[in-house]
Amino acid sequence: MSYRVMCFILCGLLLTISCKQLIKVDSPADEIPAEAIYTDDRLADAAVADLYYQLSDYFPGNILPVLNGMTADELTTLNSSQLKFVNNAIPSEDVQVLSCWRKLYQVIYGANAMLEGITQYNGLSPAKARQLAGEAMFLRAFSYYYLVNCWGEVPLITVTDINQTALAPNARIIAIYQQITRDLSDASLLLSASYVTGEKVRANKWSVLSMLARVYLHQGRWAEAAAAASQVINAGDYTPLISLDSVFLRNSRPAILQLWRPEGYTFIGQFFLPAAATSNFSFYPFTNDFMQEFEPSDKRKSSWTNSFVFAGSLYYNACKYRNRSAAAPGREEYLMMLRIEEQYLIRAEAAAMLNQTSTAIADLNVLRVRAGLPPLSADTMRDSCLVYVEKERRRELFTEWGDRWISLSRTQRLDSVMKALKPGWKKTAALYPIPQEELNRNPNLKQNEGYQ
Amino acid sequence: MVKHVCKAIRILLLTCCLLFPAILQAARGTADSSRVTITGKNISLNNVFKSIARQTGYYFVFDNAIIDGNEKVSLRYKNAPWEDVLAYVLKGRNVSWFKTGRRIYLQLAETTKNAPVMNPAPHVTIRGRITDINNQPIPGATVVLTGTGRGMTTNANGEFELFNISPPASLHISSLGYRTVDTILQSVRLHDIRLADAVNTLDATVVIGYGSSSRRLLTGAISRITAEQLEAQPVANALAALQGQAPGVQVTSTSGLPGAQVKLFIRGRNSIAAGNDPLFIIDGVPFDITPLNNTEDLYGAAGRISPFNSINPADIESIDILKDADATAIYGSRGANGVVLITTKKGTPGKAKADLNIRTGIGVTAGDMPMLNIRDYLALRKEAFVNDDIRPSAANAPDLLLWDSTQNTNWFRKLLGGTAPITNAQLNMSGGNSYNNYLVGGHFYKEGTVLPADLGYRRGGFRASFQHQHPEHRLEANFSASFMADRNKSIASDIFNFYALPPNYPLYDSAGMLYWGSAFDNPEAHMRQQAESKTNNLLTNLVLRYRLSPGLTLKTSLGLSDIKMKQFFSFPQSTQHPNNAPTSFIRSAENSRQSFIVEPQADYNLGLGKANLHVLAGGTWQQTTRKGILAIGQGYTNEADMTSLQYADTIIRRPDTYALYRYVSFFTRLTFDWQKKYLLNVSYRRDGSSRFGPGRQFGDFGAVGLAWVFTEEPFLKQLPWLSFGKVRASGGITGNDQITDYQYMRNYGNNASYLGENTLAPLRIADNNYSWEENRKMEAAIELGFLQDKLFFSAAKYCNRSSNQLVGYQLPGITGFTSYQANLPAVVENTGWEFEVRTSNISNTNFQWTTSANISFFNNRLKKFHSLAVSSYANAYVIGQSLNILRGYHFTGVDPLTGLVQFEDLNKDGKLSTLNDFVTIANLDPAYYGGIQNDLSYKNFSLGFFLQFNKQQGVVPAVRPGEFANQLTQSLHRWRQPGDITSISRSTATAGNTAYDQSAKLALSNAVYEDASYLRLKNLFITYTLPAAVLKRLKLQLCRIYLQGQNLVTVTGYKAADPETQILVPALRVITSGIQLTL
Repeated sequence: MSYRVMCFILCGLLLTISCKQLIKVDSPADEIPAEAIYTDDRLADAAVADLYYQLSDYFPGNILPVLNGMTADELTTLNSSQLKFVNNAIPSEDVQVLSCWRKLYQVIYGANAMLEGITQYNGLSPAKARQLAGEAMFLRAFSYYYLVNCWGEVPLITVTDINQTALAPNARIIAIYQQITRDLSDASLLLSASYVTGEKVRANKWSVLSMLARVYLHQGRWAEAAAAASQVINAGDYTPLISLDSVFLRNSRPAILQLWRPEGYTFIGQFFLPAAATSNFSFYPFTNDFMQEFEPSDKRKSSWTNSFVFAGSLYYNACKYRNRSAAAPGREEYLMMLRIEEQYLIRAEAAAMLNQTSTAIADLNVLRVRAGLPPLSADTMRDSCLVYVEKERRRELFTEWGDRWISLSRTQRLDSVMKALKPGWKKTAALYPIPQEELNRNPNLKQNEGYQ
Repeated sequence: MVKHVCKAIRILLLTCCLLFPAILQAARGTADSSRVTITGKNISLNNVFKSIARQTGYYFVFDNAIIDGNEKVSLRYKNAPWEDVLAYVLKGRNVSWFKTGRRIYLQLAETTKNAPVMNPAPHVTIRGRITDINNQPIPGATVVLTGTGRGMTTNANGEFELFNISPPASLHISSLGYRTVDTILQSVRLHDIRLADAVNTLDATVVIGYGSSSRRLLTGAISRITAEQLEAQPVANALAALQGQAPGVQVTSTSGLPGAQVKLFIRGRNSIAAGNDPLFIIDGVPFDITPLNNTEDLYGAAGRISPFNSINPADIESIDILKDADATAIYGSRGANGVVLITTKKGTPGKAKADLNIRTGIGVTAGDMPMLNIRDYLALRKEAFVNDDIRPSAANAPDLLLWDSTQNTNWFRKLLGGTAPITNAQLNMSGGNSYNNYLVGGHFYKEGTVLPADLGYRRGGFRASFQHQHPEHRLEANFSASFMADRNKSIASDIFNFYALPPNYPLYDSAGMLYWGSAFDNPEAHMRQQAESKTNNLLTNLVLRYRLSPGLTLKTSLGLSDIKMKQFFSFPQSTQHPNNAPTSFIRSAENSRQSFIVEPQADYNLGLGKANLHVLAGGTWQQTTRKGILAIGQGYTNEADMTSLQYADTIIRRPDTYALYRYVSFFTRLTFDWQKKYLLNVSYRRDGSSRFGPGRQFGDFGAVGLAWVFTEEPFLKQLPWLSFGKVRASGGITGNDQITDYQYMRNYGNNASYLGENTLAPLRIADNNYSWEENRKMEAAIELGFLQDKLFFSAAKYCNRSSNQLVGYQLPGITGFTSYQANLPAVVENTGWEFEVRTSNISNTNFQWTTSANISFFNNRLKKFHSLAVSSYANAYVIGQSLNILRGYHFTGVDPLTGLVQFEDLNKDGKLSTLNDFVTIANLDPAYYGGIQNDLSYKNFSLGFFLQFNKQQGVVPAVRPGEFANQLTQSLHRWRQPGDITSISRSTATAGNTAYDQSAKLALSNAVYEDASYLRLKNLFITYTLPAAVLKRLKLQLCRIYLQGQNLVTVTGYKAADPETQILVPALRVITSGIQLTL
């Protein structure tokens, strides 16, 4: 080989080597590699914080209560484009439904990634790893709770690998509840009773147990539901607040878990409060049926609802949240996720189911007395207790994540209640349509009954 | 293509006029151009020619070796045709002549070319100097001794020497971009030979990747659009002027609002991902046409804003569009979607001149939406409630109960019915000598709006170009720089959809405030939501050439492009629907992109007798940095303060975005021709890109092109009617790397804040298995010229197959994301036919008429898709059909008994499901498209008109009578009673009602896709050039007044406003008039 050929080859080689250098780019300054996230307590913590943020966004945390309220017998609308919810005729192309769905699964992805990352990189301090794993499990369970209750048999995703997730089929409801229960049980062992931040905006052990109590109730595991609720109630950290005006303020006494909001106001406040400057009506007033549910002198009616006149008719709107935009100092509001009043209702229902009517009556009376209503007499029958549980749930938890809609389904009362109120009611409307876009992209996914 | 010829001549003329005032003055003595009077004895031939030139306005071009200008003749002609005079003086001199445009060429008569070589004579050395018409030397011209294969190329001074020749020597002289000359040289003196610019498109220069060629010698598919074609059209975005101009080039405006993106696809959409943009190169520097406002919250009413708005159409000299593998493979990984080479205007040697061009006019919305009037609308709504058996209430029918039942507004006309004033001014100064020349210019463009608000678009810029070359210096340098700034004052969201507002929707309530009493957004409020964007664009490039030895040149091209866009949006609380997010907020964003490129190249040209070899080798290194910042200011106590972030209660700064792209490559090309008859072109490129993960960064691309100019064969040379014939074929592989950066990195990024601290979210599903997309292109074509190329025809058939397409592979939301970067396991085939005809219909002194037409047929097909049925694309694509199909229900009409719209239940299970009952309902690929240009000129008048057509399907709004929105007038034909045969549903207003829910499916069915074909008088251009005599008196070189019209008439069966933009703001109909002056 001549000198020249050698030279040429050498130059060629040099070129290839330097070529790789010429196109080398580092991870951009505004991005952080996964490896760094899972080997740094602070960064990993910010990744979990993001999941709470996502729940607190317009979708799903703020709009879901409105949608669920309209599909149930709680809210109606003056916005004709939202009548499809009031009429329970939701097209499968509805973008609000799609956005809620996607957002919940996004949270699930983040939780799955966190759980995988903690194990894979094994780079966090043991305490942090336990806390973040516990929170990820709680958030995953929380998201699945709303997915399964709004859409029914949704795909059950617990990993991030798209080869396993992209074509996941519908899961059975029982399997989803098993996963939720497992997550919450595990999380209750991982999380401590204290909050990791000064505020009640990150899940602690009691948040997990409150959720667990609710999930046991769904599964008819009455004793376990009552036990979990008791644990939370007996913890003593949370008590129902007499001053109803202050329940939804940040870090209020009854709050077990809230979602932080910058500026101390929520979108849900904006949905229900009239914008005095530009209009004096609310787009999502209560149904007449709902307003009639209040017994006379119920403080919740006077404190948490308001009235306005639109086109000659009287309407009522929710005003649990008082801030439409930036709050007055000391009156900041966070989005309520879990509060102690519900635990009394859970225990009351479980107790009634277990024929422990005295416990049930006592728990119901905690709320009734606080609302300025006469206490139930000690001889109230079991079935009456259950009726009161339903009524109190409705009066207490309205516009909070769609509790009425979900509770009626749980107690299998939805069909009879809706039939009486909505002429076009169909049994299949109990579930939302699985978003069309999702069906288009996943041939293994099946649409819910009634939407095909 | 006739247009090209005609315009090439015109530009040539113009250039000549501008550069040679001396000739000009001689040529324009009299206005009568065809008859001459020459009388006298012993007048030198030179003087005869001068005299003819003075009287006709023509001038002569000839090699002084073929005729002795000092020879004397005597003539006596009075008012005789100049042809007669010329015929007389040339008689017996073995010289023939022909005229093109305003020039008369003298050349040796054909017969002498083959004259037998005379008796052996002493061998001599023949020397010559070849120059262009400006007396500038032409280096690298080929000089071949006819019939021998002996030959050489000229040196830097344009000189050649042929030793040991037996005179007379018959020479064939050719150089790219010039007319070839056959001449016979006798003596040993230094011959001066002038080559005229090539005037037919066969020999005119065509820009190719890293070089130039001519249509005659091309092996690939390239279409050229000249400055004249661009000038004819009063458009702000040069891409818009390309519509219908070239076969295989599909151009669509996305919206009629200023600044809106103009989409350009070459031979169809190859890739289903976003990356269908061709590679744009301006003077050798890649110009990224990806809009800078690439996220939805920065769109504004015009949507994505095309960076191409920052290129002044008047600065463009030519646009060459590279289509097939042969032409594009030299751009390797970036050539898959074709390449658009833009060459800007340069200075030319000659006396300094100033060129001023001003035009002004108006634009109006082209098209109308035929909507119901108030009477019909209200009747329809009432009928709907009766049908639904529902009592109208204030909540579900404010239009019936609360609003003024007499107000009758057609919202489309009210909101888009204005007149936009348009003004454009351009001033260029140029000049220089043969060694250094310059061009500096500036321009200003202003366009108003058709919207009822104080909006508009303004643009201004300047550019400069300097060139240095010296025959004795080996170093040559070209430098050019342009800077442009624009301001687009618009509104924050598209208002087209307001066309469906009920005719009696009140803009204001009784208190005079904006009305919000229904779910509708208030259009007046939208007018108060501002969106302003300001773009600055700087483009510079420097080319250094060094001649190492004859034929071998080293060259380095350096380019810098810097584009920056500042945007500002304001959404006062009072303009937002109280039901949404009613705080006042502003968005302030700045996005920029900076690109730097170095391309060293070596170029070797070798003449080997009958053969010619050209070798090119080079490399590229490019780096592009993208940066973006976005801040949101919320909570303004006073809406008047919403001009800056400083008065906001809260300022949210989104995480800055940043991306770095690096690209390196090596390329080489070998071009070989044998007697300009057999042509071979081989190119190869190896590319590396930072957009791919480790181990997948490099890819190899290449192509081979072959051509046979069969009219150069002796047995075909004699055919009198066939002047040119070529067949060519090419095949090769190109690629596409138009994907987002960093997709292989599993990273987290700032998302929002929680408890006042930044939160981190996973940015993507990272998969580093994706690699280069491959596009295999094949093409065969034939090009024919008849009757001295008066009729030119070409036909091309291509087949492109792209595999491993890079896509944002769509995912269901259950995966946590909606897409990830991957290669699609599919093969997509684009095939098509392209035809082009240009004719010179009439050509005489006073009247010329040329026509050019092109048509392209296009077919896209999904050939293969690995396990399509179980992929996330199962419901989107069908094997054997186009990628641009839409799937939906098959609308079968309205049941005459019930008035319900019906859809085909394919699997007969009694219910409609998207999984089982979807069929292909539309194909959004055009079936064919093209254009026809006619240019006529009579004396000083010229008229050009351009027809553009497109056969396609398009989307129309669904007709849903009774819905709380105004309807197209088609709804008058709705079903009313049993027995009615119609295709329009019964009226219904209530969600949950069967009729309503059924008609909601219309939007997912073929009912909303209809024929959107159109034939459009796209452009009309009338000019009048002042006669030479007047110009002389005014001391002007040129004065032209003109009238232009754009989108003047559209013939279509499409039911909504504009078949081109469809359900967005229609294109503007523009009429302007202007004046061009050259001093």
